Amino acid sequence: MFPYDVGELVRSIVIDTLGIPAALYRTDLVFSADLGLESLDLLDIFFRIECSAPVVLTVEKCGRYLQGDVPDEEFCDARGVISARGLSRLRTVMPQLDTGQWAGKLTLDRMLSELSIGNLVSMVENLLAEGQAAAHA
Amino acid sequence: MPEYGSGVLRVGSYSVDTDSVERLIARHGPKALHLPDRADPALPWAVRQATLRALAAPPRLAGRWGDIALRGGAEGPWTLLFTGEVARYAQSVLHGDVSFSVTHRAGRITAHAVLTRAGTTPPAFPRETEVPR
Repeated sequence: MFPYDVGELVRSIVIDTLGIPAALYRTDLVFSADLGLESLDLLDIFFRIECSAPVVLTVEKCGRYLQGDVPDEEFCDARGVISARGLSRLRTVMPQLDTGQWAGKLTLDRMLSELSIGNLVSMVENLLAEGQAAAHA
Repeated sequence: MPEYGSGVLRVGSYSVDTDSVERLIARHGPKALHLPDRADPALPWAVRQATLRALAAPPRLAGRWGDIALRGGAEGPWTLLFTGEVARYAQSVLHGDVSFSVTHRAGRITAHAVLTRAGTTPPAFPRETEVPR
């Protein structure tokens, strides 16, 4: 287990970074659609989490977490449109994604726009567990 | 892709407020974004992101910013250097060259990276440079 509550950590950082009222905070909020974040805002949040975490978190690790074990050439096509296999993988870490709606339409550029606060919490928990397991190996 | 003309394989675009990049660097340091210490950090950041988009870099590579370096001064000419896993990936998907252009307008910087087939002339952009692979 972690020495602190990841959900609370993310909550405090998101509220502080975005300056939103605490009452509006919900884990099902989507960063781009509901909170109007740009890519650098999300990075800012991630870097703040990184500073508070007891293990090394990197953006590269986040990318590996999202892609899972799907090979590069099978995750998306040459235009950056995420494949059925890529969508299936993303559905495991972003359960709110409607694969029927996004089939053949979700691009790499758009992918992070669909990330929710809950997805971020799960990702941080997963990466922390991975980092701690590696530290004890 | 016909909409870009027969010589252009793919275009990646990225636009960002220069203030946003500078604020992020002021808060977390240039190393957070793997950027060199220079007066115009938004420029290499935008070029790098546009290039990763043009390459359709999958998520595991999209955050490997340290694998792409931009050499050159504020006015160019610029050269992109790929290293590590991004270099290996670029070698597998590039069948020509990457050209890029950068425009500044109202505090916002926009970069376009254009992948072209080998032997074709890239479209004319202001302040364009070819990128050796």
